[in-house]
Amino acid sequence: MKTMNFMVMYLCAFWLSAQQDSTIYLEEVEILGSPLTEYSAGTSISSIQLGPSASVDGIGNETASYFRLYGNGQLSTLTLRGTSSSHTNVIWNGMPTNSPTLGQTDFSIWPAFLTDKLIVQKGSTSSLFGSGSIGGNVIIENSLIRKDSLATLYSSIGSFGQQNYGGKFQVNITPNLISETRIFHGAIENDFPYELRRETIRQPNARVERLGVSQKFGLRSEKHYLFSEVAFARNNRQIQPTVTSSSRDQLLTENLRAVLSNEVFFNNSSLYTSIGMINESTLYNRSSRTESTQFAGSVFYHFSVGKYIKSKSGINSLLARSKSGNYRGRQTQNEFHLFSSWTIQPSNRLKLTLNLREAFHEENTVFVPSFGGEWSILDTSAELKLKGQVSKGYRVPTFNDRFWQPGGNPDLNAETSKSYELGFDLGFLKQRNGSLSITLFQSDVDEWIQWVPVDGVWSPFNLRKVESKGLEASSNFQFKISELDFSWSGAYEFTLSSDESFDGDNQLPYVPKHSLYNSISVTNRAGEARIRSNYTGERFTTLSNSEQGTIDDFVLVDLLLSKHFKTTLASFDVGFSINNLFDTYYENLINTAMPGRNYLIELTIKH
Amino acid sequence: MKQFLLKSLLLLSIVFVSCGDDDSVPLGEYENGVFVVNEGNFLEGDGSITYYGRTTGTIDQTIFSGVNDASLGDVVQSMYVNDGLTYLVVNNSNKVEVVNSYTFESELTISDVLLPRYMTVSGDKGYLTEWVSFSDVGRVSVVNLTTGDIESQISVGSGAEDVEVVGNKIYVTNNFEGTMSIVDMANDNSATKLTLTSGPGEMVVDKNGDIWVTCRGGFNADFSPANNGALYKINTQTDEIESTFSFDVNYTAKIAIDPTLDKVYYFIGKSVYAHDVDNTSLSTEPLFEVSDATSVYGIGVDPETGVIYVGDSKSFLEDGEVFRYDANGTFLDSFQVGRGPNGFGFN
Repeated sequence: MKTMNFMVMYLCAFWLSAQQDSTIYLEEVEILGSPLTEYSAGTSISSIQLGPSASVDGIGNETASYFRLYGNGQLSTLTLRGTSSSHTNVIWNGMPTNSPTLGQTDFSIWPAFLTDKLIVQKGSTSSLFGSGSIGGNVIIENSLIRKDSLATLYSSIGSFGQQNYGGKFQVNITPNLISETRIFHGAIENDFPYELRRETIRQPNARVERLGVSQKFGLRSEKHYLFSEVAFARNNRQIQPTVTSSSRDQLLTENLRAVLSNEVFFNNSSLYTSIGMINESTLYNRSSRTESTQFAGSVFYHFSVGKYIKSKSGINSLLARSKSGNYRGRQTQNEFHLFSSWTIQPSNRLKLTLNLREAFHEENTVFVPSFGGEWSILDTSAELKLKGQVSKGYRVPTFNDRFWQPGGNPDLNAETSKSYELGFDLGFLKQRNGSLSITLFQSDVDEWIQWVPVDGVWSPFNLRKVESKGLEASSNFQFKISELDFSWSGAYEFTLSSDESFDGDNQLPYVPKHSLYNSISVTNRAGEARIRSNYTGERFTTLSNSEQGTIDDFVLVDLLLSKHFKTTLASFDVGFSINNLFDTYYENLINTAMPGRNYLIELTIKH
Repeated sequence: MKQFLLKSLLLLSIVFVSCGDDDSVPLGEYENGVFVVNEGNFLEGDGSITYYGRTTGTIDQTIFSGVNDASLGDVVQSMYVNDGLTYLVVNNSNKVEVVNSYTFESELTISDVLLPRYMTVSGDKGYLTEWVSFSDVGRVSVVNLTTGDIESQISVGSGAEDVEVVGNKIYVTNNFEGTMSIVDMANDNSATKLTLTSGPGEMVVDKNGDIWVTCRGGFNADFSPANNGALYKINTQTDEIESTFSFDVNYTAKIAIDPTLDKVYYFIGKSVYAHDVDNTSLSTEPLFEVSDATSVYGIGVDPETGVIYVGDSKSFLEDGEVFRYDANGTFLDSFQVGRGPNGFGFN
């Protein structure tokens, strides 16, 4: 029956692509305005490609950055540079998307299949993106690209009842009007085995079902670019209990978002306007519902003077509403921002950016500037670039912080931060087949909001004062031996993060001091073989850093093979991966089992 | 496993050594001491039990996982130490772990329960309260103590919390609705309700058979504390409120009683108060202040020695700490425990 499904799907695909056989192949042309990272000279930016079966939290497999996973396919949050998960801002089509009720993003909700390009930006950028960008950002850029393959079909089957299907369809309605549709469905039983009390048991209550759909339109003319995207994600999961727990909870999350943007181009300048909306609804155990809606509006004027000066200035407006049985009625929060960003490039070797932002939130006003620079010292056979940034950041309290009943604290201040970073990029050869980057950073976060019990009731207070500092290194090399391309990339993060309002300089919970990423691949025209490994250092569950609250470090090794071939009708990619090759038992969150060795077979057809 | 073997060997050797010169055979490593219930953090499954040797002063952390090679779960709400068997009530993990009281070896797990809270034993039956959910009505499950099977279930109120059995009646505080349910087992489990103030929590039974009930206090419409915490004395002959002691604050609804059942202990903030059960007014002076604590979270009194144990949760940000005081309120010592010490069991 399953085989039949496959067959039907692929036949449909061929039929669909056959309909478009008269289309002339176009070169890949990106049709979008200036990238969001244009004004952040001095920060660490890495672009990440994820496999189609993953959720966006797959970033954790391709970087040294630490995702906190509440189980396999479960709630997953990212902390950057020793801060908290609510200090990682997630930007989708220019809009901040962290949940207004929780202040963070559950990265497991969004299938990576719906995204093209994921950018992890480490470093404080509240001056560019507003509240929450204290540790850094994850930027989801869904640019419409006029592609030569108009239909992509994907399916995979893996261990523990994993099945994923996806399709991407692009229609070039006119040479200037493109439509792109994506759909993804994935499910996993997650009944993986592990050892407990000298017996092998299978993980109960951890089934996850994911659905993602997106529709994009882009209309481009010489003076004008209109873009819209509507995306919907539905994640229905049983909440994986900790080992020895027999809880049977479940959570249904639905997230609908839409954005419409318009950019009008003049000579050396443009005017950009956008409006967006995000609606998220969570239903816990089929009874407790929380619903939130965010609206975001943005208008800015962008101009450049030759290649020397670029600037954008404008306003952002944010309105969030939420309704929950845990609040008294519907609650609302407003933010309004004025901003001005400047890039000055007096020579090819020097780039300076200055960002100014004034944010008005309820009765509070925050001014968050940042100043960064990049200076190419050497630009000969090797390239050496110095870079650095100083910045201020902030995060406003969440709806739960302010309105949760009982315990919510409406008098909370915004968290504030000061961050500094300094580093260099070294390109080894003119051909740039090797590079090394090292960055030192420090962030001081004040008024950090922490929930604590007071007379039996949990309440948030501006309690913590956190100093976080460390080092990040990343490097890659490529070389060729006859027909084989070898590639290595590695990253290392060292983070010390302590709470100065407590005694001693113990490490903050769930911030590993060391984490390491490695990937080695061999590629030729026919395929690729890759070994990927991640080391995550020990983590503590409390500030005591005691033995009983320590989670052991672990190494995960994955082996990924893919084979590529082409017929006149379509191109095929067949993938086979073994994850957790050495069948290591490990815990990401304390007492939460993770799967041992597991397999995934993938097929992608492009036409 | 290795630790388990070592401990078993150690235990064996003690048994052999002791057999020769003493009639009383030690029953296990944890025979004579105090258990600290560390509830752990919600969703981290890191609840644990710390053992404190009453005479030796030895401290063993995480004894459940040490002996049984498995984590205890979250949130360990309470424990009930019975002869031979101890019941560990693990709220969010939906289970009760039943262990040997002396060795802490796992005997069985009662897992067909929903958000269990407290347990007591009367005769050969256990009485376990369950919230069931945040919207359903709570219940008392009657547990067969040897098999762990649930023999019957009695609906009480919303947020069924602490439970006591006096005579033929079951008394349950209903935390979410501010009432106490009284179930008459001699009369076909017919239930009545007494209205209390908001947030009824722990109870103790005094020497006269009266029940002392703590009530946390409620919240105003603007989420501020209503500052109406109270302590009630319920006469179990008439099942009516005999005395109401109102506080002008909210407090943690926890309570303990001294070995002769003459005096109840409760705390407001870091102040621990003692109240003679026959007195008609409360003392305004605390017995002592736990000035070194960050956040007092639990209280217990050793029925053998009268020593008062106070748990400091350290706001769950650090490992907890337990402070010991003698019956007069003189500080004895303190020791580090697990995360969120909320109560005690005495062997």
